[in-house]
Amino acid sequence: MLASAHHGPLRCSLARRLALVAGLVAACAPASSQPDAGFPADPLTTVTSQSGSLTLAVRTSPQPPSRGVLAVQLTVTDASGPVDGLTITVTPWMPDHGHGASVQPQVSAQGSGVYLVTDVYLAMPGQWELRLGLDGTTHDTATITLQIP
Amino acid sequence: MTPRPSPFRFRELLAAAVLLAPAAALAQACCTGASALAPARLTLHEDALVGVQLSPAALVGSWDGARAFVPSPAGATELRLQEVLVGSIRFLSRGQATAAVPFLETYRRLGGLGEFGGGFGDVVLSGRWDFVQAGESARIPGLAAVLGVQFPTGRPPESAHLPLGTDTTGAGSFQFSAGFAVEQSWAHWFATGTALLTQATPRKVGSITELLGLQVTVIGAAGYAFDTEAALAVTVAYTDSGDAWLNGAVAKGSGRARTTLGVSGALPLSEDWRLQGSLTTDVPAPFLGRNEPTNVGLTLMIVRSWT
Amino acid sequence: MMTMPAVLLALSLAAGPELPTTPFAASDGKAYVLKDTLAASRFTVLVFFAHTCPIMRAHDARVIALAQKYAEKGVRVLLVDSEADATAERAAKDAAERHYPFPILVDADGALAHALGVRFATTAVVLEAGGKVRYRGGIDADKQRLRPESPFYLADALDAVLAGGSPKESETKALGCVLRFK
Repeated sequence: MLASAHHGPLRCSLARRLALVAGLVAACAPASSQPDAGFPADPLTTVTSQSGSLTLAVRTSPQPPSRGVLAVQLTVTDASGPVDGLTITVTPWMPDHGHGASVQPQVSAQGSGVYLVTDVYLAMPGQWELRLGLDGTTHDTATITLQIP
Repeated sequence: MTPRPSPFRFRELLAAAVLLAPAAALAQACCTGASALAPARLTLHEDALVGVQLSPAALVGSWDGARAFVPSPAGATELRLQEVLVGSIRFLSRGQATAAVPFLETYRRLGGLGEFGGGFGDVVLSGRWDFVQAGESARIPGLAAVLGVQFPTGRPPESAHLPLGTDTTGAGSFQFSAGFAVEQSWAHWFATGTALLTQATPRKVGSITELLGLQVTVIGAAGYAFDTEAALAVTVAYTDSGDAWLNGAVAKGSGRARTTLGVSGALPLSEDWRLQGSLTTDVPAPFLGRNEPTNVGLTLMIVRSWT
Repeated sequence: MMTMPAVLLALSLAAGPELPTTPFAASDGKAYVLKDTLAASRFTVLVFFAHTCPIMRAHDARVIALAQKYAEKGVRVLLVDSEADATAERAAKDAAERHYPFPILVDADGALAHALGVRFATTAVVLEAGGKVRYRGGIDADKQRLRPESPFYLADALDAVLAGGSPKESETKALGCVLRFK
């Protein structure tokens, strides 16, 4: 099945809508629309990595998180202070329903142990996990649990 | 007083219709459970049927892990439309087999994003064997075994192309269902009960392997057949599943539950055509669900049968 | 309550089923011994009846017309109520209310229905004088809505056997209600 996304406002020709109802074509949609990533001062939650050596302060935008697209700010520290140079992968997963999301979030390092995660699309209500792979100076994992209304 | 004839066969039409009710409510494409129920059951003497089912539904909220109901936030909209082509045939006089081929479309508006997607869904094959036909015995209710398989022919969430996943049309795993159904009637009144077990096969997505918990579904219905040949029933369905296994460990608190109420009806249009329909709602109240979205839905089905 | 497998039943019917010998009470107050009743006519048609079945009620006029038409050719029509709650009193009431010119035999333990492999109301069984089954199945191809163009299976079967031949279809579907046995 074909799928397509359109940039800007939702635009979908009548022919495409009819084809959609006929099950022939998958979609009409705007491209990603990132939230205005202003993060609050207080973290939503703080998690510890699997090894126990890393602490991650988690802030979201919006906070508290809601259904749709989020940005997530991770501030990673260890006993020595902020941890830079990590390659972080983020996999959204719904453990209650056994599935993930259609978009792979993107991670960019901001310096001082801060990492910005964008393209976090959580479209279904319920409990989501952001399952993190933390590689570089270490090889570790962490899980952030978010309750999405 | 002249005894009025009992339009018996509409009990069976209703039995078929009431099975639509919970199936319509269990409508999240990624996460179907007991949708392996036959959506169109052959009534007495029918040898085959084909039908088209239309099911619009709206997401109104969800139950969280503490069984609290959480309404959808302002600005969040999710509407779904499912069309299902159904065919059933009879075999060996007491058996019937059904194939259901779904197509789904979903519209989501979340914050500033609107998205519309869809496609071909998960095909379901199911079967039923009537050990005792309803009404065949004054002492023993009608008793049937039901079996079903849902095939991962639709598009699972990770394979969707759209960011809000509206082109998700499948659960991404096989689902097997087995159970039994009982039915009894008294003049114009009838009652049915169905119990099902459903198990999905494990899913492996990247480094994550998950096996959802075994799901139990119980459906009860009671109805009345009018002299005008129309019939109505009320239904209640409850589904509960155990915790899932995630990468070899129990994901505590991941079990799901939902309670659905419905009203179903059946109306013969002629000897060969009938209309079936239902209105269903997951009950948006505390303790009646867990870790599940809540939906309101409608199902209409037109059936052409051959005797 | 379970009927014989279809093959064994067909063989038994072809050879002549073992019919109950105990007399049947009936709506007209008489007692009917089946063997004697069959022997008194060239052919006997047993139509299985259900008190509340709307399909049976829809076919009342056709059965009455058939009984009247074929009476002069030596065919006798009898109704049989094999449901668990059948009684002679109720049968008498039904026969009077529905103006049946033939009696309803009461088969409350379902013995006759089981012997003939009958599960549904409006099933018609044509028996020779000696008890051999010549036809079993529907009166026609209709349920509640009767169509003039519907194949009239029972009449066609009677015409064939009265002419000395065999019915084109000796077994058809009866579309009536499930009989509620004990």
